[in-house]
Amino acid sequence: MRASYLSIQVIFLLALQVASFVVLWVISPLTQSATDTFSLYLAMDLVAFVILSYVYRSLRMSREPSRAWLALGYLTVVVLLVSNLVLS
Amino acid sequence: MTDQEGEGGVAGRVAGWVDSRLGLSHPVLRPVPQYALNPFYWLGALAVVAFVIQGVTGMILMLYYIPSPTQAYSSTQYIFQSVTNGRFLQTVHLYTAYAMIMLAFMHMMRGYFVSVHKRPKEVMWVVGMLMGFVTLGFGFTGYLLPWTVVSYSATHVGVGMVNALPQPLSNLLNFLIVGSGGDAGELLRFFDLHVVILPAVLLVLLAVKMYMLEAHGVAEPTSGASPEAKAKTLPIFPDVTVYVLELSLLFGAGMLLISALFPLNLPAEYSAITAGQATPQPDWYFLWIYQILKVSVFDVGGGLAAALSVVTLVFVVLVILPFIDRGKTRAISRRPVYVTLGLIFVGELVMLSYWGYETPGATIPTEQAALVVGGTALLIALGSLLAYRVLYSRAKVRLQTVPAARLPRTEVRSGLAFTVLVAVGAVAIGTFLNSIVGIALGDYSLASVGLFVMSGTALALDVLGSVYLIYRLDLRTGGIRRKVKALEVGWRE
Repeated sequence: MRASYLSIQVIFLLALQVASFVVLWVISPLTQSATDTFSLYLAMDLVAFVILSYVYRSLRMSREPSRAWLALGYLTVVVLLVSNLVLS
Repeated sequence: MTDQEGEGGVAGRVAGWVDSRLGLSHPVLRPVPQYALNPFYWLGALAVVAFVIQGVTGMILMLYYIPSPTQAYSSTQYIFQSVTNGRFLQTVHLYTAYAMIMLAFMHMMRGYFVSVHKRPKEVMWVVGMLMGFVTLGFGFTGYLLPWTVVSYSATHVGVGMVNALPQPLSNLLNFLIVGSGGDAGELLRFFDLHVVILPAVLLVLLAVKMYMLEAHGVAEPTSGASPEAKAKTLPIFPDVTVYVLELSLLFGAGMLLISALFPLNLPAEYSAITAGQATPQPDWYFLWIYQILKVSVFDVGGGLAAALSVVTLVFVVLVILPFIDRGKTRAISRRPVYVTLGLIFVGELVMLSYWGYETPGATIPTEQAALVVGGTALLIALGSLLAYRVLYSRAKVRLQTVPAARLPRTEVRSGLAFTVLVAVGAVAIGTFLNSIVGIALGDYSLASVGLFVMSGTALALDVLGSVYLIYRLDLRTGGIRRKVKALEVGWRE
């Protein structure tokens, strides 16, 4: 995997985390649906961080990050994001 | 200032400053073999992560919760409805508690199957079991705190059971959980245990276990590790730490997803009126004990003590397991008896828990309980036997260069035949016993006698079928045939 692709992914994930952090900060979860939104955004945030961490660990161990794991991670992020949008 | 502190710009200087103060690049913990980068090696660590999450969420909840019978429910309701993130915190607190119990159980069973309890880690196993009991204690004490009708009723069944335990255990537990008596004293005692005493005990046990883990190192795979595999190690920081962080975050994300999918609802408050309408039922991790207590044989005088003795025996066997299973081999393929026993244990727990959940408050007839428990054990034992035979025959096929495809198919057919025979046998035994009881009670109707004859015949045919199957299976080795022949002609082998 080319380094530029990885850099783009890392920037995308960081942007996603910033955006979800803002949403988490703004939400005031008192009702059940707001609590669900909060939980799903936080879960998405954590998964994004796991992808970042996985890329870092792979590069550190001089290994190519697995495309399958990355795809699974992004799919999870997308599923969580879409379910959040549907919920709200 | 060290050399490191001055290198690599601002970020490098900051990292160097942190490292020089915390010594992260020179960890005192031993490196971890690369083969241990496998989630199954970190189930215990994830249970600790769940404990930490519970500690954090619990401390916040503690700011609002009032441990008094008159205010416990209302303060819980206040957290739920009026505190920002209160519902979220309470849901996460509960689900991570469930996850901690489940992870601790999975950690224990994995340890059992891959024999980590064997020499020299016997004491480590015992400490782990004590940690498991403390974890169950968290569940037991935490269940009462919301003061709902379900939690109050179920906890009081549990507290009542304490009196039936043998001495001095009964007195000790009474002293610990009941205190001065009365609802207020009891709730306060449960709260203290839940937030102070049990966490402190768990932390001490965790420290002892971590020390022993550091002394003995991570267990090798059951097949053993080659010198090359042992030599491939990773430093605890940052490689292993980052890996565990990934697992922990995934676990956290999973917990959040579960709490969004299955939102928590607060049951009704405990009162004398609501208590009369509720059937006491414990939380899922105690359902298997609850189901044992519901068997009618334990419904007579002294029955409760007998049932609790059975449960206590299970726990005692688990604690002293390393001193019972003393064989040196760790390979699963060479421990069929212990592996089968472990599978039966898990199967019975799952079956009893599900059964307990489905039949709240119902008394279970002894014959039915014996049939279901015995049938489950038999099915699992046969499944395990079949699995072992298929695995072994594959190994033999490789050695003898016999075509590989045919032998497993024969094993599968034999296994299916056995399963059918067991299922028919279980139904036949149940019907036969029922019809005998009916006839003994004076029911001579055609249906009763007909059932007696048919089930008796089915049972006899089932036994004959089993004998025939065993005889057929034995044709390849000829052991039984030789013995039958010897019996017929009076040989002595």
